[in-house]
Amino acid sequence: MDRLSLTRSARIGLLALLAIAAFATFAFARDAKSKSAAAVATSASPKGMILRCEEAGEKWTPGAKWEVADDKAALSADHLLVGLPGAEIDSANKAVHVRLLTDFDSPLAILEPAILLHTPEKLDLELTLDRGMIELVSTKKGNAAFVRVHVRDAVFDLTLYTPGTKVTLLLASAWVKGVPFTQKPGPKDVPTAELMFVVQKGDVDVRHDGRLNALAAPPGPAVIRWDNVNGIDSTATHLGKLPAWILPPTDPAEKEKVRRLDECVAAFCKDAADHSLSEVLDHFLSSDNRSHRHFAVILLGATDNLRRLAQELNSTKYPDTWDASVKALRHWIGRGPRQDMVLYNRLVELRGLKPTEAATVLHFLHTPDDAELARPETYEMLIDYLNSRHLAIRGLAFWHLYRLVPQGRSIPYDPLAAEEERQKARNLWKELIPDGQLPPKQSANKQEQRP
Amino acid sequence: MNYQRRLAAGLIVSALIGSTAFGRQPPGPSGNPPPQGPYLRTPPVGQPTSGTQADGGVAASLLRTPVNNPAPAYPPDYSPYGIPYIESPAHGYLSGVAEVTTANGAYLSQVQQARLLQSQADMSKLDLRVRMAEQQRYLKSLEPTYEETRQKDIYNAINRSRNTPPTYEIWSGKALDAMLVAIQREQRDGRKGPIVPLDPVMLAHINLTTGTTSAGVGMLKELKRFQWPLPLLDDAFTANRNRIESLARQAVEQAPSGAVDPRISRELQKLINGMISTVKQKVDDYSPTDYVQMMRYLREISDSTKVLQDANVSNYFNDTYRATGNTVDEMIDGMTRRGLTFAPASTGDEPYYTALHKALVNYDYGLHRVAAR
Repeated sequence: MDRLSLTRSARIGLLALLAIAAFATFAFARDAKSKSAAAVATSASPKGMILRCEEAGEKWTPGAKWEVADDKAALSADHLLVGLPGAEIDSANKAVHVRLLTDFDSPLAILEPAILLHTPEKLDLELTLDRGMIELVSTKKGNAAFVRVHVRDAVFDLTLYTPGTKVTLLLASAWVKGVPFTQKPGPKDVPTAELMFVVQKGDVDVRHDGRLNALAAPPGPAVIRWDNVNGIDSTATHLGKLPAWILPPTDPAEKEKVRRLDECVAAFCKDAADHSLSEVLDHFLSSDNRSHRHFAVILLGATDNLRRLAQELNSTKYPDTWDASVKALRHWIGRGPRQDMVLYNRLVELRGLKPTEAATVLHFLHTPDDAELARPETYEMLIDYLNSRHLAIRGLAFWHLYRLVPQGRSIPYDPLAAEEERQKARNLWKELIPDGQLPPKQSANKQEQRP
Repeated sequence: MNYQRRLAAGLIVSALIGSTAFGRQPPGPSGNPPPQGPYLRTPPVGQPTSGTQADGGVAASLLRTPVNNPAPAYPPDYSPYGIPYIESPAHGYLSGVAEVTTANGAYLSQVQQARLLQSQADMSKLDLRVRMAEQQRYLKSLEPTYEETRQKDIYNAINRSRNTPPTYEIWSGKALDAMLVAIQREQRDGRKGPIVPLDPVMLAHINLTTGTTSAGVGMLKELKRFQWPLPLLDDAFTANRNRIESLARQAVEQAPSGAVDPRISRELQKLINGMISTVKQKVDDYSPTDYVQMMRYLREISDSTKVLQDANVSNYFNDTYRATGNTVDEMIDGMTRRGLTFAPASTGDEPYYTALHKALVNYDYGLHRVAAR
């Protein structure tokens, strides 16, 4: 009996022990597996240089939270990463080094760089280039590095032959001039995406759609382009030397721009060391420094914080912040297919705008074509919208007028001013461009630069 | 008087030369500088002391034996020639006068040289002005004349029109006019292009003008059957719309006889302006596309009512101002004879303009092939 009871107790104890051990093993294995599977790269930048979306997934999730990645943080797959200019990432096997570039003030349709890492299969690195400019550098010793890059629905397989081989990828995506907003978009109503590969050092093979393009650093076939309308170039473009835009600036104005950006990045990282992303952005948005405000607005767009961006548009006292917000929104709707519809729906559902009003906002976030600009009614419309009861509409109408009619830049119109003042300024615009007329022609030497 | 002044000036010049130009004392025989003090020039061997060196002047040198004569560099009884040198007062006077005369001559010579230099400078200045004028003439000769600029503009417009111009330039009639000029030039030289047939239906949608009025011409034929844009069919515009249609019908009936009652035109204008004001007040209720469409239509009607006041309005309702012909050649020929050009397209007629532009480009291309043979 005793033996039996002992045996039973022992059995129960043994079973319990086994159960605990099994659970512990399972939990440990699961944790270890999740860690090893998810960490596909490591941050090689100080804290603050890389922003990470907490939600996994390729597409933007409304209300998704973003965090600042730590120094040497393990970066898991399927989380969108936005890099401050100069952020660096190493692939898990240290074979490929990624630099996230872009100057936030580019004349091209690019702002912030964003990538989505994937778990590579028999590759050194696999990523989706969501937007912006990145640099891939092979650090693999003794063998070629293999990288797969996804852009929209296209796939590019890159072979970087020798250590030190460097290739720049630039993805510009935007609604091109003359493509209007439509509330019922068809399959072809998508922003145009253009990708460019520029080999800076070494030899690189780009395989796409069953074709191989052998690229080499200048002097040589260094550039090949792809776009979502015509596909990839039939042949690579020969370059005698690297283009000026890829090299460090020599122009004093450009150098100053880089210095300001570096200063912003340093200040951001310093602040991000002790504060959350939201707090850092708040600090920057309320700063007296114009560059800081601009920087923060671009990051609001980059991290899909449309609510805060709308708040800035409605309440900022700084015209330059307004200007930067418009730029960020124009970029945001041009990032990918249906992005403009997302904004339209949010304006209607969350902001309570009538469908016509929301469509007007989206119309102004697109760019008019030459035929529209050759019609007097376009200018008449823009001037009449200066009186709109909605700040977003009158502000965007002014945003276009300011750029289209440089002669009117001295007219003191402020979308945030009281109605009486706005009306006065609108009358001055009417005097400059009477109804049914085109703006006065401006001589070439009198053209002003954008502030 | 002048002479005396010059003489005095000569003396002053000589005094200055004596006190400043040679104001530094030469080193002594030992190489050490001699003691400082008022320096008087030591005459060289065989040269008399200048009377101008003492402040006493010429008269004083005549009246007394120079007491301020410096000690000679040689012992008094020493002469390299073996005979002691003795200077007489007359000799000093004469040599002083000679020096004054020399200085005066040098002064006059310098004055003449200065005048010569001045005249040379004046000549150079004049020469520079002449050269500058020549340069300006040359630069001006490089500038195109007004006529050259005009011809160049026409040439550019033709070239632009031949090479896929923007659609809005075709629809405004600008590109068609450029092609018209190009073809008329070739025809003037007696060249004929290929036969490019024209669809009469297409030609019915092409608006022509004499150039005095262009906007609104196309809408005249629409005044019988309005095609209001959708937003203008709103109830808020019903009253105005109905009245406009009624007045327009009356105007169109009167126009072929050559005169439209001005009261009709005025009322039409007033009603259209009322509709424009309503649209402007409700700007937030329309999308930009709707707004532009409505404004464009209303402005076209407004322009048409202005054409109704034209004395030659009847020509727009008969075949005089209509595009006719079975081929491009015939159409251009007819337009040349009547002095007509293309007017902007009415709303909805844009495709006909694009088609006609292609026909004109084809004809022009054929003309060039003929000319190249």
